[in-house]
Amino acid sequence: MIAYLTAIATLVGVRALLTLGLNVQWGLTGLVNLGAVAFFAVGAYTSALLAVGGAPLVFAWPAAVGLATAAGAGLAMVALRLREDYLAIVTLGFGEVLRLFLLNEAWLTRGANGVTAIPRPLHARFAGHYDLFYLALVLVVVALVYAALERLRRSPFGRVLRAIREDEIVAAVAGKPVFRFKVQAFALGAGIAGLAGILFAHYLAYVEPNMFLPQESLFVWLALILGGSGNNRGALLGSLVLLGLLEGSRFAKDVIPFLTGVRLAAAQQILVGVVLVVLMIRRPEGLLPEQPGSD
Amino acid sequence: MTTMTRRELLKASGTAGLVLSAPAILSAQSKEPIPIGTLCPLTGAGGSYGPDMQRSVVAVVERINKAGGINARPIQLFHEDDQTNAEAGVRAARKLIDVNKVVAIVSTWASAVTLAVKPLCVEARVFVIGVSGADSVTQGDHKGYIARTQPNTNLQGRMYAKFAVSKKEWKRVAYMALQTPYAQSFGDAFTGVLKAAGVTITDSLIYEDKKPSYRSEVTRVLATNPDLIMLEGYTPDSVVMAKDIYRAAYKGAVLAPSFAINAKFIEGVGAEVAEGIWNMDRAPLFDSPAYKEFSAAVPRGDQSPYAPQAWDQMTLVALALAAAKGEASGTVIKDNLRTVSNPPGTVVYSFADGARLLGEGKKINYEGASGSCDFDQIGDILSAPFSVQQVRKGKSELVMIINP
Repeated sequence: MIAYLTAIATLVGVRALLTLGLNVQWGLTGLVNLGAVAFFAVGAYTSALLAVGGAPLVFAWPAAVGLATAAGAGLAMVALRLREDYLAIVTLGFGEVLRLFLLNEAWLTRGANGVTAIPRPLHARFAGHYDLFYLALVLVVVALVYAALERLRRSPFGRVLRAIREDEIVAAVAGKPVFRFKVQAFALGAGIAGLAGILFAHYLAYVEPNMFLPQESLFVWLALILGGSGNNRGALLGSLVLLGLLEGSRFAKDVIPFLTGVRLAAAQQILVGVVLVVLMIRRPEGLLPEQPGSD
Repeated sequence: MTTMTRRELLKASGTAGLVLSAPAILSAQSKEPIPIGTLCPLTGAGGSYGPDMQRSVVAVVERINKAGGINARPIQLFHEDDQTNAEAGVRAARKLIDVNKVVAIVSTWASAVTLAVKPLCVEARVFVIGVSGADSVTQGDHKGYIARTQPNTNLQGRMYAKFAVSKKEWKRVAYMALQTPYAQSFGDAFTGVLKAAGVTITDSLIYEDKKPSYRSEVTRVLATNPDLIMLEGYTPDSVVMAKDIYRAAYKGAVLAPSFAINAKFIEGVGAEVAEGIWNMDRAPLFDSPAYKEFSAAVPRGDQSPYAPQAWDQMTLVALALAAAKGEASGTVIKDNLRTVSNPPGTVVYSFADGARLLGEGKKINYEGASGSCDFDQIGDILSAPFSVQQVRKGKSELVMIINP
């Protein structure tokens, strides 16, 4: 049971990072990014391919975060002239374009086969209880990112982002270079998603393109809205609750006897859906709403 | 006010979590039954195959338990849905391994899922047997904990080619495949054999999933004037493709895997479009006593080639455990798999017969519903007969069986 909980906690940590990244973009700055999974994939693939190719992780990991950040900045430069619905469509499209690239450019990405046998950091040293070590690693990264983002949110930079979210014309009139701030926020969120991708790839030791389907982006949105967008603690809680629902319902079917086969799987998804709908009706702002004036 | 409700909510969800997980904790502690997990796709792209596979496994276990279990220990099954998704598969596998303490996971389907759960199963010394086709599944250092009853893509490609060569009128062949982990390696094996036999490969094209129309792909391939189009895909894309090929007034033949050209395919395109399409797959051994027992126990099972394989996987795992007589573990299964599946030994077709002979200290060689089930060193099936069928008046009819 401990090993199982460790595995789930590790995956919660990865999802929490993704949600924190999206919170910078949507929660703080109001930028709709339906392609969060794209930067997750950039981080995962860059690190995986470099590591499998023999690069040391101290080089592969910063390179992966750097490339994810650059991809975010690049997309933002092109797409942020658009707003709301149009931005949503462009980011969604970017995610699919990237997935198809990963699937078809086999010379670089190994195509549909995926990248196997990704090295796991310090595996030999922590051989006996490696999963616990990895969980600790993930939790440390989450804690550092969380602390940094909390600082950022309260800083003048964070205040500008929130001002842009509320009304970007007002922010522009106040003399803020709105476009530059938006690009920075988008790139920062993308970099955090890339970091999540790294941890994901080296945990599973295997990545393939269909892990990065558009619905994964929607799961990140679910976690953020569930937890409370704009609030970093909400982002953490949202990820925990979402995976808790997905995993908790797994045990429900071991108990309820008349659910068999396909019915189990369907019931699991219905249960998750119902809980989400109820939460949204009861707490539309999320479990932990953003506190006004909390800086 | 808001803080109160939040606390209540947290309390409620925490309690619910505990209550839900309690029975699993209890069942993991009971020592007597041997826990075995299934990891079939019940939802997602594989959702049309997983339920039949799971049903097969359940039917085998019912028989084993009725016959007194493995060395007087019953099997307890735990089912998880991999959602045809690698990450969901990993979470499900972790639950099976860590909470249910399974010694084996049977009937994985998608190659991506098998590849993703492979490292953690090898590390936890849990035996995995599935139907995934990609070559990388059995490659690498897995210490014998991985095996599969599905022929690897190389063998499949060569068998399809063998049939295509036997049809003398097919002089020009085009290969079209859905982008999957096996599209490339299947194509290489298939076109390799054909070229060696003097057949011209007019075009080789890998296409994307979920396109509303394949007009441009079909136009390109038909411009090369093939006598046969080898269409390697799944049902949904094959439906769109077959309609577009028909609309383009193609007069030649089409060959495809039977798992794509199933009843749903024929319903989707209509009998007229489907008429004459050749399809092949790993043949169940229709005459084998194991297949007869299987088809009596799993009435709908003969609709997919995976259900008989799931039947054999569960039987093999049980026989390997029975051969050990001592503790039940993944290591015991991988050490004994080839002892009970490969020659030499008395040929047996069911767990009951095999377990009886093992009890008398004899060697056995299990011949299953899906084939002879003989494994090589890396866990691949050594040989398998293939069935050739053709759609005639809205139904796939068996034409012949090809042996390697």
